[in-house]
Amino acid sequence: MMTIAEIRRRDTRTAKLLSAYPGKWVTLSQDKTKVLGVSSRMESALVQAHKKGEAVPHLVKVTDLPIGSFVL
Amino acid sequence: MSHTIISYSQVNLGHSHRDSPKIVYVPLLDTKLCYQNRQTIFSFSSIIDSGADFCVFPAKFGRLIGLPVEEGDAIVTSGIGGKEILYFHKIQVSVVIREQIWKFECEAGFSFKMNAKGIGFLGRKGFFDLFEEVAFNQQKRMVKLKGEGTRNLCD
Repeated sequence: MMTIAEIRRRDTRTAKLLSAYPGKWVTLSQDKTKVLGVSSRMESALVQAHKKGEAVPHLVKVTDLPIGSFVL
Repeated sequence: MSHTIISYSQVNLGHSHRDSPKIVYVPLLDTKLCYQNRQTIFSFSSIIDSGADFCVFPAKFGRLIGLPVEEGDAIVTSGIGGKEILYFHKIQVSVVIREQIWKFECEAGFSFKMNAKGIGFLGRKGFFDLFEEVAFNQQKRMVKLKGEGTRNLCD
């Protein structure tokens, strides 16, 4: 099992990787170290990842929208 | 009583407004959704959100697993983003907590507004119900999930 420190290092690397694609849908490898697909359409980013052999990619919308919210 | 520690994840907000932070730290879990044996063919991040009454996911993700989103019970909610209609459906949610998969059933809301964000919210009904205690340590950027976590687990 990864330690908290290892998880943080990985997450920092992933955040840096994603920052190159503002506004795009990005698919990552399961370990989140490789970008497998980039598109303005979610479906297209998923297809790119599946074509590269990743059965269950991690899907991210790189957004500058505030991500916090609450629901009443 | 066992507990699990989750670290906050770094999120870069590249083009945020001048006075707002460029980097934020939020507690995220990898998530998959399942409805009538159809599962999302990807994982996505969900925020552990103590301010959310329910688990809420983008409507787009629901449609991908065959959910008739707009046929669910509709509830008008209000939040930071203003008013929103959530359509509720009973689904199975899988989250990865420290490399272990946890599955639970819940009545989750589906939101069209959240399509643009591509993330989910793990709220108090459904997710927090799994634990005896959910404690946020903002200084250390960690969340402690305390309890056996078996009450609502299925499979």
